[in-house]
Amino acid sequence: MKLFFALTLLLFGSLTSASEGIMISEESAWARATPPGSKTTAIYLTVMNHSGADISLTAATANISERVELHTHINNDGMMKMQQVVSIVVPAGGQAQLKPHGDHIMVFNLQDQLKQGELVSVELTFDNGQTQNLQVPVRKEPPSANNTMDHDGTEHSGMKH
Amino acid sequence: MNKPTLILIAVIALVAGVFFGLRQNAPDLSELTGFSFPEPALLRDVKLIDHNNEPLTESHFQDKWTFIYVGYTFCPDYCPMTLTTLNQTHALLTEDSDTPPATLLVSVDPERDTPEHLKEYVKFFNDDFTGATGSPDEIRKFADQVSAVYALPDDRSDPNYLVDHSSTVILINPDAAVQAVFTPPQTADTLAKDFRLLVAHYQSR
Repeated sequence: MKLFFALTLLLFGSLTSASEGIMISEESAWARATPPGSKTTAIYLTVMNHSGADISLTAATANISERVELHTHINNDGMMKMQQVVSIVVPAGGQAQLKPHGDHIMVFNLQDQLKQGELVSVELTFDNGQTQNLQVPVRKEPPSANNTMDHDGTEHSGMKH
Repeated sequence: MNKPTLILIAVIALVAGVFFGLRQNAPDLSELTGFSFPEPALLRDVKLIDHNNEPLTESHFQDKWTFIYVGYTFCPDYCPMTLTTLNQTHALLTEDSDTPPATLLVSVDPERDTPEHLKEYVKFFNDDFTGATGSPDEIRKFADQVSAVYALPDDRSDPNYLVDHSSTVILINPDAAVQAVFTPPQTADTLAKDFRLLVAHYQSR
């Protein structure tokens, strides 16, 4: 009986995290292909929060560098300034779009050129205890507009739970 | 009214008609997304170094249209994004003409951006693109002329330093004068559309 109770809790718990927690739109995720000799790149993706409370993205790692940070851009008197941030908030029932010219995952100290078609392993950590692992394709250009998800996330094909 | 007066009135009417007719044919620049200078200023005393280590002066800009982007290659987001956009713009404008505008990246970070590295970098986006840099003073003089602003950090001991910059695209006309400035975020569609308007306007002068 104790075991059954534990299993029920476990099952219930995992269902809750899947249905009410964080999801990543896979179609939106890409890492920028790099010119030869470049030491930096950025990773972009859309994070959706299906829970009733704000959740923050607090860390990202990637298998292409030991130095990966969360960054944003601020417009400082007409000058674009990149700045590291501690976390990126995904509002309750909403989403956070990490995209060019906005919030992004900044990669320093690239060892190898990133080429179109390659995959980058990314792990995202959230302050609700969730972690998400995903394979992010390397692209020269952003996914076309009709492939990106910028609605409420009702379309579930290609979604990472 | 005597005959000479009538002829004079007819001539005036004809001239006015042709004048206003031409004016109507001049494109409406109010539809521009970017900012066009009513009196484009000629580039002067340009002393940059191109990606083949050759001097690049104001004569580089004569007799062609040139899009300029002022940035640096270490830049992870704005610069590669804008060069990608300029490559898409180049493709759109190649559909119009065999001689699409030239594209030039001017790096404000000569300590890290050698001509050799700039060449590799711009060719990654488009084989026809050119890179240039120069001494800090000459880059500043050039950037001032094209209304581009940037700020290198004073402490550049960390090789991963970032540079704040305006990320504007500048259009130089065939007189080697600063015709227009486009602030971010730029898109290939709006750059191509603005370019066509500005060329038509330039030709209708």
